[in-house]
Amino acid sequence: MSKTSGYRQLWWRLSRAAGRYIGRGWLALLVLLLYAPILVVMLASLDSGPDVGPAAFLNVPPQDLTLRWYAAISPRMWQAVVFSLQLATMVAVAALLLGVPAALGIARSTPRLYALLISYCRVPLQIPFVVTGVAFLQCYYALASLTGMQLAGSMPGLFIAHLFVATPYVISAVTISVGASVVRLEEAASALGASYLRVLWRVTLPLALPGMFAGGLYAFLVSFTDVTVAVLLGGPGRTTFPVAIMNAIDGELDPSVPAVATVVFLSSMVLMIMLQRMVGLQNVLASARTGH
Amino acid sequence: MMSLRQRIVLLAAPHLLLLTLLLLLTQAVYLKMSLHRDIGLGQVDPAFTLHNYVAIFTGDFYLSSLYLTLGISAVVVVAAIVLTYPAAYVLTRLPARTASWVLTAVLSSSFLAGAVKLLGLVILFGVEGPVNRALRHLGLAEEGFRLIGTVSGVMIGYAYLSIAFSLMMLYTALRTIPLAYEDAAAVHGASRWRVFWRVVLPLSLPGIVNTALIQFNLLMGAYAIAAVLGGGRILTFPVLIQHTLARFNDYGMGAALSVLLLALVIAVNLIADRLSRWRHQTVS
Repeated sequence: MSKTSGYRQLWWRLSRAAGRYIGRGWLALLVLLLYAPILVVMLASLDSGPDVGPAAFLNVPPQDLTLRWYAAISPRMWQAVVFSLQLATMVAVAALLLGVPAALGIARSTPRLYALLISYCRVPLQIPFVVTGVAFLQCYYALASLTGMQLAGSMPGLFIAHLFVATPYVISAVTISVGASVVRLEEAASALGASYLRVLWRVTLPLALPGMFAGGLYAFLVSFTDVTVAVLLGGPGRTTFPVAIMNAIDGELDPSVPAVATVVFLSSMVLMIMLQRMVGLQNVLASARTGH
Repeated sequence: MMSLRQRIVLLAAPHLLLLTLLLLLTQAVYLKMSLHRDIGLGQVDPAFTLHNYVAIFTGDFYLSSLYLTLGISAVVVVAAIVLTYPAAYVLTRLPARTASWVLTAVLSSSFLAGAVKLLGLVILFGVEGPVNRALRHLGLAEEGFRLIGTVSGVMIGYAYLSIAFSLMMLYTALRTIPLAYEDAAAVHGASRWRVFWRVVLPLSLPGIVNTALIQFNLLMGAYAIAAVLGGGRILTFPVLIQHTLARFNDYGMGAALSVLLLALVIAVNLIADRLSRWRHQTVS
């Protein structure tokens, strides 16, 4: 072993250690940067602020801490939160009812057909949300002039459009979690004499459960966080929560808006952590392409 | 009597039927609408014409919005990849559990809190916000930095969306490079820089290109950020589409602009698919 190679090794180790700390620091900085606006909203929600006037005059960091904005959240905001919750729940339930059987069916087709059907089911994700919004809006107008059925600006109209973009996520999540092995297990069970329903209940559904959970939550979140489609298809009294926040930013920012935003963010964070614990989140998200 | 397998395949039928119905209905209506000329008051001329498409490509108004959107998206995507690449690399060297939690944190911040984050940016960069107070305190910018209604404001908003997703996608790409390759290069005397330049970077290049293309699509279609931070002055393509429909009630033109945006996004997707297929072939 020559002396130079010893120095070389030392240098290699040192630079590796330095690189590691700089790298981790950089990663931490990026995460902090990403969270900065959210932390600012949380801090602003605690500032006692002016009695009247927009939230832009709230102090960050807060001058004196208060929880009074949490009690002063406007009923209109709560209405938007409730409307969003209802809509997202309906979308998640319907997406599961359509998507889970579809995923189980597709998983059993021939490999060639499987690839084709999976990419067909993902077509809604290839379309930018703004185009989806425009397409549904014009379709609803055309329907209204033909049949008199008014879907634009209504909850059913918004529901159908959200279902269209949310179901692909359920299908992705379930097909990922069920995989190809489920077919062999089912065939084994039915060869051993289990009835059709028993196979479904005791083999297929337990295997699909994590994917169903992830897909359902994901469908819920797609509907709950969407702004683009909801702006185009919503109407008076049909304002979702993110759209209400957007309107608040555009107009006079009510000082209680950061408070309601904090409440909603923290509760959806809980959902996200559940999602992460059930199945690797990036597996589901990796299937996402365009959107927002 | 059908086999179990055949019966289960039929389960996919309701969804496939509904999907086909919705796709046919929605896509057909605006494709057709894009071929009609607006005659005011939200009415369109029943005759078919390419007027809207000709107007997009002959005037400055629509083209400048298109160039603006392409430009902003491209700049932000490149910046986001340069910023997140080292962080994604570090993430692959962390224990899988830790990395997965970091990714969850990053993704929740971006995707869950889109509207909350916009609100935070508006407060953060507000006239009396922390950033402007700090700038004034340091004597850097007396008049302060304006977020709303400026191109740089929209770019900051886009960066927030893009950084989170680039980090996730680059992590996925970098994770597939075996650590043993780097060790092998190092054992044979390559410097750290050389290992990166000759081994890690070339192997991750397809992942970088793929990330860039998908991010580019994401930003080209992003509506909420540009609508809020643009303050009605920065007309990106999605904002322009919404204005054309909601303010000018020009349904024909709104539809034609949507067709154009969709065509662009599909073209980029096809390139991304082709590239990833090519990569699989060369690897195997």
